[in-house]
Amino acid sequence: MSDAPHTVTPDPGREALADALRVSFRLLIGVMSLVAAAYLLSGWFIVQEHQRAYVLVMGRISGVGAERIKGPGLHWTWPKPIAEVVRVPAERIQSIEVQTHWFEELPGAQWDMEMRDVGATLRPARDGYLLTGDANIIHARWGIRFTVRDPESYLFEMADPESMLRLEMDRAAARVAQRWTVDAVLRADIEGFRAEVDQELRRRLHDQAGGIQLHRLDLLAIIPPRQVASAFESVIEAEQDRSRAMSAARAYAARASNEAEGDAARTRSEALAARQRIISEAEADAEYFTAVLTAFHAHPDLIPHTLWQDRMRPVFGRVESQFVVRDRPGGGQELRLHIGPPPRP
Amino acid sequence: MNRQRLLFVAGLLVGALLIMLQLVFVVREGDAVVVTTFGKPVRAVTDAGLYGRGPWPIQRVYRFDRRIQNFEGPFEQVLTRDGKNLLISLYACWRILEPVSFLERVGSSEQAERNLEALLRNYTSATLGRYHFAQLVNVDPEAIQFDQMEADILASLRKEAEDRYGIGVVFLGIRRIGLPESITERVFERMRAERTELAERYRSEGESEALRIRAEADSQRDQALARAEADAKRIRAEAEAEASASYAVFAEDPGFAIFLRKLDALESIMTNRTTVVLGSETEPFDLLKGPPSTLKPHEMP
Repeated sequence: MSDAPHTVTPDPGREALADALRVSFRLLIGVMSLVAAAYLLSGWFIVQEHQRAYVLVMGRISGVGAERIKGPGLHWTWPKPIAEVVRVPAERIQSIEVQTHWFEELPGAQWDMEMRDVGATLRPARDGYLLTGDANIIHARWGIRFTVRDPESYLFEMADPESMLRLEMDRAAARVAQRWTVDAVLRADIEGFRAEVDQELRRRLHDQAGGIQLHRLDLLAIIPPRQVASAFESVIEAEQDRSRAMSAARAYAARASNEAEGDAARTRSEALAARQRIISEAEADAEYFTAVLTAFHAHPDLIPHTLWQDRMRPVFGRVESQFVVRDRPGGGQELRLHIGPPPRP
Repeated sequence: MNRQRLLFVAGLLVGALLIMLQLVFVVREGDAVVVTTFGKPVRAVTDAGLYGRGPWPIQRVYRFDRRIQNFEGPFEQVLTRDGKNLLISLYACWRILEPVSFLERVGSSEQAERNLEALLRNYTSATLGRYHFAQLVNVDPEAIQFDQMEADILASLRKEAEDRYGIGVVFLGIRRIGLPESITERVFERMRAERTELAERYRSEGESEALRIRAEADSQRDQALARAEADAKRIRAEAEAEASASYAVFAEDPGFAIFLRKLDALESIMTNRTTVVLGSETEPFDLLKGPPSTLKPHEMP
């Protein structure tokens, strides 16, 4: 500072203060330069692989055409507040669950407990539901998976695209349910119902701002109200009764058909056997006749008697019981022969 | 004094920056800005970028979100043309069309939604009052006028919101349709009755169908057996016809043939448990009366 020759005894306190000031000023300069460097470096930013980003310089999207949107990687722009980086998870499939048409589930309550505690009515403020075309009530829970089709519209054209998506979901479900019957929705064509809601939602999202594209709509659950669940179950039971009765009848029919086939086959084969027997008996009879006829012609008196007695002997041999002889008018006598054991009374 | 000059320059820069900030404003993408001079709107900017302005308190800058915003009306009871009560809620998506008139007549998003809600309630009940319940809820898609109702409400709402508030209603939708709480109980009773009827129908259908299947099976079995019997009869007839060819030989001595057949018949008849009444002259019982008188030695030739 000053090296005046008059100064014999320099003030040690003053010098120490000057030193301290000098050091702290240098320190300050150093820190300031570091902060300035860090500030300039803060313009670097990273876009993750599933993201896309826009850079707003003075509030306006920087770049022209395809350069407006920044892909994954390291980029540089002006630090804040000159520029601002806005990121969109454009490549990621996002999912949300929609419970608008579900009843209020008390926290921690078990399903069975709820079945018992359930009130007689649905409270409009708490219990959501869908109204079907035949004025029935059903509960449904949906899962939406979506992607961002147009990031610019998603960010700068609509304030809250996700809540818009929820509203549109509710509308699509209400609009479709109103022309379906409860039976079709709950049992006959659940997938058809889901597909129609999917189509309706997709169409609306496509026409509107927000840049959201529906990836897939899932019908997570669809049930009748708990208040009438038992009535719905009884219908299922009745259907099972019906199919049981019908399958029993079909089993009976199959058995009857098999038995009839067996009986018919037996009748036919018996007839064929009988045919064989009749023919061979006739042949045997004819042969026998030819043979006996020769003998008869030789001894016409003797052969008939011999034949008769040959045949009758075993018959009379089977006579077990007494034979009674008594006189008959006209001089003859009567014989009663009981062949085999006596007839039961 | 090097350092003092540096400090002075730095202070000057900071001061200049502060003054500069009073003289510019930034419009962000998606925003709208209205500049007023002594409270009078002089400029509306909707294109993003950096703009100059007069310093406060001469000029002021009002900033609005120009993006589309959602808002949902209450879930409220309305009366249809045929006097049915139902609950309905709609949502509308809107945006600022005229920033200047929006600033003058509305001022904030909250106020905008309050105004829109009043309009929406008004037009919803007016429109629903023109339609029948069956035009909203029906299994026949032809009868449903859902889209038409939305279009009616949108047309009325859009016009008035734009004229009065500088708000553009972009689209709207019916979000929920429900029934008053007391009616849900009646709906449940009807649903139960319908289910009971359906269950009864399934049961009786099952029974009658089972009966039909059994009856058909019985009839088919009878037919099959009858066909088999007919076949058997035919086979027997053929056999008889074939057999009769063999019997042609009996024509050589019909009397003797008949005798033999009778003998066969007699033998097969007199099996067990038969009582036969005979005359005592029947052979061989004629011998009971003594040896035959005609018996004499055969004369040998």
